[in-house]
Amino acid sequence: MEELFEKYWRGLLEPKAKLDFEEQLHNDEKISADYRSFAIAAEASKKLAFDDLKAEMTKPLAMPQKQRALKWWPIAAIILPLTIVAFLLATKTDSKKLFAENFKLPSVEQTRSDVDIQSTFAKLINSKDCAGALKFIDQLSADRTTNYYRFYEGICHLSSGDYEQAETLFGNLIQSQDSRFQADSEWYSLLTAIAKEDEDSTKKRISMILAKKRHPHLENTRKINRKIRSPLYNL
Amino acid sequence: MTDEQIIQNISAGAAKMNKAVRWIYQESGWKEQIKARLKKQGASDMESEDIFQEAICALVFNIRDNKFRGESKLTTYLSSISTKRWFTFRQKTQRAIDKGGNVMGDPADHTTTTPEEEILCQEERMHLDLALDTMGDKCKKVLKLWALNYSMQEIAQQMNYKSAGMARKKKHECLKRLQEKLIADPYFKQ
Repeated sequence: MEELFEKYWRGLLEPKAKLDFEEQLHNDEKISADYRSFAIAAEASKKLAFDDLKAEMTKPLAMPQKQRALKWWPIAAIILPLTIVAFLLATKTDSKKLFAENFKLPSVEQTRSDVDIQSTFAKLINSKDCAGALKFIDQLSADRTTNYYRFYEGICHLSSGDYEQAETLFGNLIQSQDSRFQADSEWYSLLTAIAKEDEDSTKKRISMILAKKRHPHLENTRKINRKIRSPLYNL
Repeated sequence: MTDEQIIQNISAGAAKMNKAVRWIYQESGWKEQIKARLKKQGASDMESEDIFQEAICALVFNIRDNKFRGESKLTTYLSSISTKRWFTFRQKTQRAIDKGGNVMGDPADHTTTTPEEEILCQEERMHLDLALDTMGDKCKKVLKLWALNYSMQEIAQQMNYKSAGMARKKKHECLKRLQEKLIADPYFKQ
């Protein structure tokens, strides 16, 4: 019966069903009383809904798109600088990174003389056994310690973090003007200065290499020069 | 919002319905239009405001009960509801003034006097409120949703009931309880 009451109350009954029901209401006191009770409760419920809808009308509308976008500004103002800092930290170049990018232990070339000794040494260097190589050089007699060994000794010191020794050896080699090791010594001397984080020395070495238009390490030195002059270097 | 969007939102119920209601009232520009027409027909500012709000509620109910057939624009339909409501209200109040023996004047001069029938309506509302106040919040919400013709499935979702059957049971219980409270009130017994 409640379903029929509801349909009548909502005005959803077909004309014939509506007439039949109205006849029942007219003739049956019980149904009439029940419907009256139902209708009052239904109207009370409707009033609740009306009151709610009216309260809803005056609530502020959602902010327009522009304002909503503006609301994001405080968040963006925090996120954006953080993102930039994170990006800079991720892309910044420091001396260690620059050194690691450029330092490579060179493979050893053999000369015709002194083949056996040199061959043993070459094996140590090519297998990146710098400790073994340094020990090997220590055991060599003074007359056998040529620029060749001094050069690799410098590289091994550089590789193991003994920058002072490396710097001395490369400095001597540069001064000796031995054309076989001159250019490479300048290059590794630059890398030593970078590893030592010695800014003045780094700039001097760079200028020295850049002044030589046919220097074998010219291109790499230019790259280093660009990086150390970048604001992102050592941020 | 287009008429179609409004109808869709009101039919969808809940937050979408509320958004549509707010848009009609605040953004559509219909309020100013319809209130101006009602004022020309003699309504005061307060009356035209009440009538317009009631008309929006009626529109919502008609859309949710599928009584709006889409034969006219929503603004025309809302204007028509408002006008009908205004004339019904005016007839009632005029009748009440006549019954009360007060001076009859031009209906257009009617402002916000307190005619007998309006007092009766207010009294009726007060008794309804008294009965509703004794109902729990959950019951009130179920009845509100039911009055807005939400399906039992939708009521179950809104109220976090397990099933539509549970929603139907709750609605029946709440409606019965409200009926009992209203019948117990001597005002409604008469």
